[in-house]
Amino acid sequence: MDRLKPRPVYLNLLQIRLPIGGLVSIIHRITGVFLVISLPVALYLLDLSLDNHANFQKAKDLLFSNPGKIILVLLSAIFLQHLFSGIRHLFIDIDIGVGKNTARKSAWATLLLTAIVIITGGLMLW
Amino acid sequence: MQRLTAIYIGLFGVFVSVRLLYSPINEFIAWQGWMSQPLVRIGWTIFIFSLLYHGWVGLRSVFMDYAKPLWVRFLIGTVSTLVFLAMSIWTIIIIFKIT
Repeated sequence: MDRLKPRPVYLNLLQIRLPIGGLVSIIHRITGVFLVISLPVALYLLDLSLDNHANFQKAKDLLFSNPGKIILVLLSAIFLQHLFSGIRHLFIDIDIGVGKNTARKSAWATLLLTAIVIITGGLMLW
Repeated sequence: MQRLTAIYIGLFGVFVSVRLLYSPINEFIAWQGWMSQPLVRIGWTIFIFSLLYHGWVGLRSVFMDYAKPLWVRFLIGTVSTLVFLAMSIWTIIIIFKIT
């Protein structure tokens, strides 16, 4: 037994260099958790907006205040990244884009698409 | 089911975003009027319940991978299920508020 070399165990997360596909997969999970946390806030705003005229204004003011807009843009980015990486996973499920090169490209594409849409949308909002 | 809800959320989410960006609704009466259209209302109901289901299942598969002790799993599982149940009841109340 003592002939065996100890396995290299890297528990230091900073030392693990994840391939881009793995990174996008983890990002899918993290963005998912953030979206779950945002659900009650979204429900609260929807509830408020359907009450009456005054509360509709209140919901609108909250959503389009400066902090509100920042959170809205951030959450939209999180949603889009989750959506695009989700679509990527669906394609991989049905054996499309499984090859290493395509998989790497599509992983980068999810990040790029999110950036493009969010910069365009963010500029429109301000 | 996780994939089915995902597809619906994606399609309906994009539909609502494009609809609201293309012609924004700034007034309560207009908002209520749009939301009370049968198709829009049904669409939103399915949308929110899809989100809740998708989130519940998704969160479960994430914490089951990282939380190993049984009691921690049980705790997070129970608390998150109760929260999602509460949000489901809340959703029904919201939907019935639209007149």
